[in-house]
Amino acid sequence: MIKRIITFAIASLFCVLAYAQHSTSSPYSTIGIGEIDSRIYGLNSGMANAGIGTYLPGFLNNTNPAAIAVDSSYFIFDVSLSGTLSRYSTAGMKEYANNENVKKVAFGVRIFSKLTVSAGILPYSNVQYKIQSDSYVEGGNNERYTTYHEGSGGLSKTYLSASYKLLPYLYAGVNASYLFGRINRSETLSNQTVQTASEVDKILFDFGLIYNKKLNVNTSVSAGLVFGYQSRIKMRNYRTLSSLGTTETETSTFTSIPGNIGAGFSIQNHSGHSYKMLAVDYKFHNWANIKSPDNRMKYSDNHRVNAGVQYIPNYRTSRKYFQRVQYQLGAYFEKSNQVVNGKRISEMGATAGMVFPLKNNYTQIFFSADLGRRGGASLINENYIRINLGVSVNQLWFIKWAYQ
Amino acid sequence: MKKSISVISFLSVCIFIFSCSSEAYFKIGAGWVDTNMKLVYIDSCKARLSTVRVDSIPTYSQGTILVGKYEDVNTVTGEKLTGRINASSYLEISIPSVPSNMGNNNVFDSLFIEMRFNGFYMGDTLNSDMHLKIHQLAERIALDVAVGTEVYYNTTSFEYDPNPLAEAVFPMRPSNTESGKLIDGGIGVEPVRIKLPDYLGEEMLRKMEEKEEEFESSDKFLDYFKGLVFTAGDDVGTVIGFRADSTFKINLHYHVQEEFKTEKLITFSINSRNQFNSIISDRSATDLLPDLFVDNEIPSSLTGNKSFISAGDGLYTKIEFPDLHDILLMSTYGIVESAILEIRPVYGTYQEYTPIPRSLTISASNASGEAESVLNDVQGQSQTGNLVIDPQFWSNTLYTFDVTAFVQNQMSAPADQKLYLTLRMASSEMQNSTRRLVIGDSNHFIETGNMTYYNRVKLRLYFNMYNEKN
Repeated sequence: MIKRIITFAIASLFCVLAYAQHSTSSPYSTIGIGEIDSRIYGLNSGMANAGIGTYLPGFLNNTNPAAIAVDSSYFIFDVSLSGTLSRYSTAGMKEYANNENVKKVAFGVRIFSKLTVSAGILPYSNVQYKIQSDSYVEGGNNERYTTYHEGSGGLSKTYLSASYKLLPYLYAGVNASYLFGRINRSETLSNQTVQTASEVDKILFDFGLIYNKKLNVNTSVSAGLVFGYQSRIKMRNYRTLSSLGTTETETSTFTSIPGNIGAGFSIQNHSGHSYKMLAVDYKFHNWANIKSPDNRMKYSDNHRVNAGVQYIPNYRTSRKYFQRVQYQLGAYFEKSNQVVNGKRISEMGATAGMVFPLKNNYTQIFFSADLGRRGGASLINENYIRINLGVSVNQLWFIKWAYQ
Repeated sequence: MKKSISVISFLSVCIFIFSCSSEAYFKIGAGWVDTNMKLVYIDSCKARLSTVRVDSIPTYSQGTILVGKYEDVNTVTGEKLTGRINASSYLEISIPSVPSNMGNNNVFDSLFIEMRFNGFYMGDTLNSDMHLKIHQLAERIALDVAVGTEVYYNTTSFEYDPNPLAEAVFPMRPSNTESGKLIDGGIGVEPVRIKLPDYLGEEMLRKMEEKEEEFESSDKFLDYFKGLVFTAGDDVGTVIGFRADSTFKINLHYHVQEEFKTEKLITFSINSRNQFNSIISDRSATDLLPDLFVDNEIPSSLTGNKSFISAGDGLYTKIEFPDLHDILLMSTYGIVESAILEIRPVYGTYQEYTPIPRSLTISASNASGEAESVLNDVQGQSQTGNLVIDPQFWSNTLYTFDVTAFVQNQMSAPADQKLYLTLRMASSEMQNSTRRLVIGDSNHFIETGNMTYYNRVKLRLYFNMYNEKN
């Protein structure tokens, strides 16, 4: 057992180290705190991350703190990785970017019969770009020059969620997140570079409810609600001009994270040994209430719908492995908060995934693909394919410890 | 469990391998990035020019004999420029080797100076002849200092017999100087030959024959024959250069009449260490009146919006940029990316007969505004101005210098501290010519007929500006 813990610790450490290298390469990440990542990189990634109204034991559901479900005496450990290949296009130009990363490390445990907790780390926003822009020399005779822009970093969210069983079918949850990170941007013209770094650390809370109802022996429904309030975030900004050596000036600016509300619904059905589920989420972020830090981009309210289905042909069979595999399909649509040149950026895509149970049926490896498109008419359009890979380890810890 | 760990490890390794994303910069998104820096071109920065005079310039041992008179005038406007230049040259002649078996039956034939043009000229060489006077020195070329440390300047002079030993008028063909063609009587123009009086040759031959002490030691020889001074006749036209090296000879021709006539030759050569040129400029009719100089400087506004650089008599131009600091006010923070100084010769001051210098040297005062050092370009290379001649429109003839480092220094110095640049004749022409250059300042122009020529100094700045957005 000790061996296992050590191996486990090494693996976790490795994952955390790998986590340090955030990356997306996206023009969308040039402004503000970068591009907000609403995915949870969990078992439901093949269902377009729909999960506000989903209560499934063994699923560390980050979409709703009330919906963390861990069987008693079990310990869940989730790690997932993601890789994206994007094609950006705009009038007459196409460019490709790829990025790969560890996206999530999380664990969950039931403390006592009514209280389940989960903790982990997830991306909140990403900044990663290398862009060159050409301009005419002011006052010059049609001469051009190039400035080089680079951005890296982003915000991460470590969280601690607790779900409490209020009533036999009603769970309430609270999620405390610690938002932190550093966003580095630089602008280079010839051999002069201006570097700015913005640091954020902020504790946020959001809340959730989930209600489960068994309709009959085979069918149950769940409905969930999540809520987060708007918070002001102080950014500590450091500016360095390369030609002045290490001279650094520090300023503080404020940005905000919008208030948000989400609702979800799911229905599950067991018939024989097969299993079906449908989940739908809607989430609203009140971005319109927040002033954009940059006048080239305006904020508008963000609406997102995620919907997914899953199917297990036969979860009891031991002979036909692929009958035990969980098949997922999903789709999503978002009217994003980013408005450029008066045009709203929207995003849509479809997902497909499979969850492979290992021998004991409790450890699962999940794999999903997400094919999507973001942009808008006469804007920068991104077509992407995202591959998610993860493992969710579900172990009987405490009982074994007790035996040893 | 073990399986899952191996899966995690495998995936992590995959990720590390994949993480080597492309390093290229996107062009897409150029409109979305926040640009606080820009490059601005500025050429309106005023340059303040002044002409500086130096006391004297060492002109000895340059291998060049300069002689002639030239009036520096703008051929278009008639304006007098650097004055009337009078160049004359002092030469010390070495003791010849006298044949030891010299008998008493020698018959003098002739004594000639033979010398060659070195290519330098200033003035019309085609339509006029050189009137050269050769005088004998009345005192030796020597100073009251240790031998070998003497320095002879353009202002140095020694007494000489005002009545010339010889005079010659001959056409000037300075461009036929290629040594391979001229030496050893090859193809090309004959060297200039000037006859010296027979009595001098006969006297020398007799002293040699009789083994008199004048031809025993160098010192005694120089006491006897102190040297020559070349001066120009009264005509003001051209300054011309001859080679003061082994091609300069004084040939004493004689013959021995025995059974047959045997022609003989004794050659005197020049002692180039003690040869120098006197270059005197009479500026009384010009803007560069000595009284107008303050601390040896005169601003271009007092000299017709132009400044001067000259070799031989030592004028150079000093350039300041009093308004450079104002450019800094244009931005939160800015730095000069590149600064190019353009220097334009004034129209009418150069032509085929009066070429401008091929190269100039530029120096800059240091940050404390005192010592000067040569200003290299951004690559650390020395610069000579990359002269480009525009023979058609004249307006585009220019020298260009990379003065980025200087401008950066000036901008980082306190606003009240004025650094300066100096432009001088390159050392290759400074001490052995009378070359000169007339450059226009920020207000300069010349109107002739319906044409206006602006040959103005210009500082081309590329300023990298960073403006903080609020």
